[in-house]
Amino acid sequence: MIDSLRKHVSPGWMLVAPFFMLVVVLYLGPILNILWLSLTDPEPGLQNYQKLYTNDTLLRIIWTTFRICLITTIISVAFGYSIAYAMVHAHQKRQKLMLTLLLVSFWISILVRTFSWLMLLGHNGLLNNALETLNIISEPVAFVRNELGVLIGMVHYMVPYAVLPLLVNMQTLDTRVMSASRNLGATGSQTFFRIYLPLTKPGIVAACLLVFILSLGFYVTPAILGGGKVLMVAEYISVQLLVTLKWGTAAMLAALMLFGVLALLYIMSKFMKLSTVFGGSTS
Amino acid sequence: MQDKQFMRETLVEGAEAFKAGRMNRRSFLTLCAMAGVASSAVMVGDAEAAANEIVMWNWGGQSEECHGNAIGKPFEEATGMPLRFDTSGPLQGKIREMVDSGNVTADVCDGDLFDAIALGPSGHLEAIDYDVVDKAKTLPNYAVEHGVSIILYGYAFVYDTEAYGDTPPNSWADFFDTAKFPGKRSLYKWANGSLEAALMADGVSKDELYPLDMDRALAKLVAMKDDSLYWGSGSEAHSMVVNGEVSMGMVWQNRGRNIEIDTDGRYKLVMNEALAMPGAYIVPKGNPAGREAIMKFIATAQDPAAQLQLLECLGMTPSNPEAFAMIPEDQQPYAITSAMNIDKVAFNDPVWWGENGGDAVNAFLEAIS
Amino acid sequence: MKQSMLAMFNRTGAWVLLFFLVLPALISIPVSLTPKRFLSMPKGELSLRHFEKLFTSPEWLSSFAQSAIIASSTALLATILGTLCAIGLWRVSSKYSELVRAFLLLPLIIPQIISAMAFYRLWIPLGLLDSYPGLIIAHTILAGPMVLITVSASLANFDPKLEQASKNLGASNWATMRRVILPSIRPGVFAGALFAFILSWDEIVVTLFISKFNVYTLPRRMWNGIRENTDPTVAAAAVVLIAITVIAFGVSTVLSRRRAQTQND
Repeated sequence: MIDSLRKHVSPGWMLVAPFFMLVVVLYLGPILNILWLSLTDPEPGLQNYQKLYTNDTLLRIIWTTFRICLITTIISVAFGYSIAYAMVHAHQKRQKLMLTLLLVSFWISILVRTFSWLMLLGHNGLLNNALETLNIISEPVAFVRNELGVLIGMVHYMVPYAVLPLLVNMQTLDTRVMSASRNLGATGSQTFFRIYLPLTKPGIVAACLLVFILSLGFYVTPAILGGGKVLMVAEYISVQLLVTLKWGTAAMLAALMLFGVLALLYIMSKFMKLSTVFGGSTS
Repeated sequence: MQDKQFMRETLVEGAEAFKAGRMNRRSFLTLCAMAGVASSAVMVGDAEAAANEIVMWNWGGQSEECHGNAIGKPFEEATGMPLRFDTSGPLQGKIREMVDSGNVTADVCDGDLFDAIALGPSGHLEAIDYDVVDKAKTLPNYAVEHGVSIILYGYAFVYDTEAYGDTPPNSWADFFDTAKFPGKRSLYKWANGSLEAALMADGVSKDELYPLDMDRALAKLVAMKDDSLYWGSGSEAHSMVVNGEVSMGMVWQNRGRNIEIDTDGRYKLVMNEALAMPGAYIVPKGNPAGREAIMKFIATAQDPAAQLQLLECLGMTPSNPEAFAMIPEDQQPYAITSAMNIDKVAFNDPVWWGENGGDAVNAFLEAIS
Repeated sequence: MKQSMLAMFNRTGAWVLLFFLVLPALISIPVSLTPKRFLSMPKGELSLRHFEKLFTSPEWLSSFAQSAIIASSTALLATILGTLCAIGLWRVSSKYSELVRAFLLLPLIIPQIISAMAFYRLWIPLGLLDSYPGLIIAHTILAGPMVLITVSASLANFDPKLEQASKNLGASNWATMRRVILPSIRPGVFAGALFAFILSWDEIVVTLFISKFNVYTLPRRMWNGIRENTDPTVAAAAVVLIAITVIAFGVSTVLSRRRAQTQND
């Protein structure tokens, strides 16, 4: 029986099983339990979902979140690509230095980062004081306590998360393909855009996915750097759960986020064979 | 599980022996101590549940030290039960989840009186035993069924003396007047205090605030939105002021003195029209130390000496009328219930906030985002 | 290989970006020396009191140790489970594996506060509340998807024919994995381990729900009293971590230089 099982079920599943079981046994149940509240709290029915049609604010918050996360992802991945590319093509010692700098920025807890940005970019912060001293500006510029501050804070946090998937992908690239292209007469930029970039697509996809998903759940930094005016979905959900006790609304928004990301993955799968992008065998 | 059963049976037998006179008091107390259970609970027959310590659920920081010295120490001396702190922050949602889960780990939460109105009716809180806790030792409306006010804190504002030195602002109307007093403002993000301030600025008398006219308040707030920042925690409020980001900032009154010190006197606190909030002790249903012990603890906190110590340590104003006259002179300008301030402040209605707080917060967030 | 203009332009840009990344870290150095008891730039005076507090206070040291233990364990567990999972999905490589992969991203997509409540509800009957294993398991579930993503990115360029060749030469599945696949995807595994470690090290939302007294990690210590003030000790802690990283870099550079020298002899 085991032999026939082995024939029909790929052995790869055995490796997947431990983590899969962990998530199913110790996580899935209570999560579904909470998401179910979206249909039962305060009364059974679809009222919570109907709020999406009737309540302007919810749509506004969702749109703000989506917009900020999208911009953050694009900028972070672009910056990340630049850094990863430079790292891969640098000497070993330089590479190590760059990695160290990356790690240093990683270590800093959210609290320290957020307050550092306030001190750097605030009304009376280092940057504004420097610009005023140099007479470049006469009034302090509002870099923080608004959406710009949120973007700066989020991009800064996300860039390392974009760099590393790109880096690991670039490191396993076969560089002979690049040399072959040059030998065949292609210019540097032609080689880059037509050979290198497509080959790093898995890295780009992984980086985009990771950064976008992380951004969706991010709310501490946006709350402080946005001056309380940039309200994102994750924070709103937290407030409904902890302060206003509207658990149904919170569950509904969480379910919405989940469906949103799954829909995103589905759309992506229509444009590219996801299994090859995520590291499947080219079958 | 057999150990628990054995222990419980031993304790019950021991209690009976003690009551019948066959065991002396010292042996009985030793038995209880070994089981880690309060003797009072065993006597009531609840050997399983009661623990031999009081757990206060609060926000940590200086509160730990201050409540520990002011109330924990006297209580431990009187009853032998030490005070421990869970500093993860008793938000309404967490309290509700804790009681629903059946695993109650806190005896008392250092929260707001409106939490008692919000969580009491649904059966999440113990009713206060007013035979042990004294209703007269707090302000008239601030002893409700499921919570009692121990201290008061308030929403006031500080202003930049360098910006407005000659004509200092003195009321919420001034705070909201960005034409006469240009500059940025900071307000509390979770609606409480900000709504009342807006109404007072719009001309509502401080004694006629409730029920809050939400539309009127939100209109006033939205009008000032471009010049406003909103803070969600004390540290944010503090940083906005000390970093000079706002010319006038709403702050928690009990931090007012610290802000004056931290800005070397540049920012001054205005107590006129401050909104006084009853901070309260509420007891989650099924608390581990048992009903009797926690009510005694709350009664200890009503002692004027304890409340005055909290004033000195945390800036929180006593709610016990006996203590009002005893507020030291240097604290009087900053305290809510000092003679010079008590007629100038507005008093929060915990019933309105308990019933409408959730909707008010959501409406506020909608307006400012 | 001749570097194109684009590459050189990019290199400058990359260094600028790296500077942008470490800027807050640099700021935290003077901030950690502020004489005041709240986060601020020191204007004139410098004070070592926050470092003193960090090194002499048993609470801060204990929190450091707790976070180190929990984060290391999380990194280890999440990396092992996540890597095996990524390799497994890569081997299967079918429509179903992509569905499973999307499913396994669940802990990363669900807002942390909801995960926190979910863990809280389940941890109580399981007796995992306020315990090291409880926190490690919760963090592992949250970090696993990140490992999955990075290792998968690494596997994307791994030629499956190499695995085939290894098996054809007689190596068992296990030997192939150990000696052919793992070495090639080592960067992805390390990146995943790093992400898992940082997630656990910084994690506060879930921790606040499932820990009470016994577990008091560094983030809890940092957020303690946040309602009143942000204790500059957090800046001192940040500087210590930066110092450790920089020293590690220095040591590693010296060691590799020495290794290169001995190889040349």
